[in-house]
Amino acid sequence: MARTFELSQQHFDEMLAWLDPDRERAGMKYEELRLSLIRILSWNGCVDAEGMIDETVDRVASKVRDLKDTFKGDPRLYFYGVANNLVKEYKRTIDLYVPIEDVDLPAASSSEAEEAEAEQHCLQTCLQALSCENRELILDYYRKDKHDKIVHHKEMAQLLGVPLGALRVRMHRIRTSLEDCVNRCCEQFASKKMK
Amino acid sequence: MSEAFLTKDVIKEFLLGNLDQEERQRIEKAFLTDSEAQDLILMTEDELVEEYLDDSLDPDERSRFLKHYLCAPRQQRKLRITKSLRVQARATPQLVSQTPTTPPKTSLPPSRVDWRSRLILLPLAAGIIVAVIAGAVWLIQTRRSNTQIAKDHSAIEQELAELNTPSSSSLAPVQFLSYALPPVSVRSLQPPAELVLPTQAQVIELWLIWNDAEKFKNNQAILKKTGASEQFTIHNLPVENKPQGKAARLRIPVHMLTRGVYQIAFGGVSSDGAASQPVEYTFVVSGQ
Repeated sequence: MARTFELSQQHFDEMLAWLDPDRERAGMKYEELRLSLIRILSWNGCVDAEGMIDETVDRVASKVRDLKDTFKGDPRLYFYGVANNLVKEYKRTIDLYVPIEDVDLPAASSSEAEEAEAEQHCLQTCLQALSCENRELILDYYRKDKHDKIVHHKEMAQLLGVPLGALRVRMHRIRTSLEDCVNRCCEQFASKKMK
Repeated sequence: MSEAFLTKDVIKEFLLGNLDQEERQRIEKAFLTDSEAQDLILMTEDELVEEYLDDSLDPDERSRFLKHYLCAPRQQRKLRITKSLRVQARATPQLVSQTPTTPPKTSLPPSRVDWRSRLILLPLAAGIIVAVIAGAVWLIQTRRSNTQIAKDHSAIEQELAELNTPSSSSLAPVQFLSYALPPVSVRSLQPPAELVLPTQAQVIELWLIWNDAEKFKNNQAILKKTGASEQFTIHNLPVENKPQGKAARLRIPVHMLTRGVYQIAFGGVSSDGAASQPVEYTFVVSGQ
């Protein structure tokens, strides 16, 4: 997506300070916010969610000097409002719903094959980056399917001495960290490829 | 969590694009500002992907999943990652997670001990101290042994990886034995291939016959001796045409083999994330 504003370090710093006066906390809040907005835009069917969030950040940063004094409330909701407007612009210009089953997909190009290979490599790397216990847990969690899966998960919960709900939460956290790791790894691969 | 409207059914409808704009925005704002809501939405998303892979969505849900949810590359990647995890998990023999539960803490009530009881307690205490010291010595020796085992395992895995790189195809086939292994079938009356030790060969070359082998961009074989806990994973075996059909080549150094039955679980993942069911092979090592 084309960027309409050249984000300066000063604007970025002011935007971070608006999120939190403490620089380190602000950085963490910014990363969490960015990831959450990317997810929201992806759920809205946006193909270039990362690009649209960069545009969102640019637009907010360009106005942050006024916002600090005029906006009341959670700054995250302001970011959300800007991102939501971008989604509306996007949906006006693009036919969003491309039914996958109706599309005659061409054979994978060599770059797509490279990306798929990179994704697999990233998954393996990120699995190895998990602690041994978490890696074994997540693989054990996916061992069965359908009804067997339900029984297996109950057995796992009993072995760990936790309620089933707690096991699901733990698996969710491991899976989320794994997906975030793979996404970051794939983004690094893509940015290296562009250089 | 203050958002009582956020149920799993509502979240599922949100992810499948079935809610109006007002409802969508309400959920999205909750996702941004409420950490419990965020967890619930993300976990429901995980379950939705699982339901799709288990083929348990109804036709309308499945259609919406494909048309709406899978529009975005991020969701497509999530699906591929989940598929890959399932393939990898099912290709890995079950681990026994014997993580014990934390026993409830107990404490003995204080009691009055008179001099007669001390005559019994002192030798008992001495015996306990000796047992603790002996246990500590055993533990140190076991840990050293486990460290050595881990080092040996790592060395064997490295050797397997080097033997099975595609470039190793160009190595001169010095003293190796070659076997073609068909997949295990409940209907098969054929005995498993048998390797008799000792042998002049330094390397065993197994051709895992599987006509779908070439379809998969990435594959892995997991080698395990029946009854042993140790297993070795070898990635991306080269695939060639053999008289029996397409086969993946697995080379094993003879020195790591001992008498017994060995199993290989072989599976692959295609570039679009489609996963194969693991295929199993067996061979027997016999002799001295």
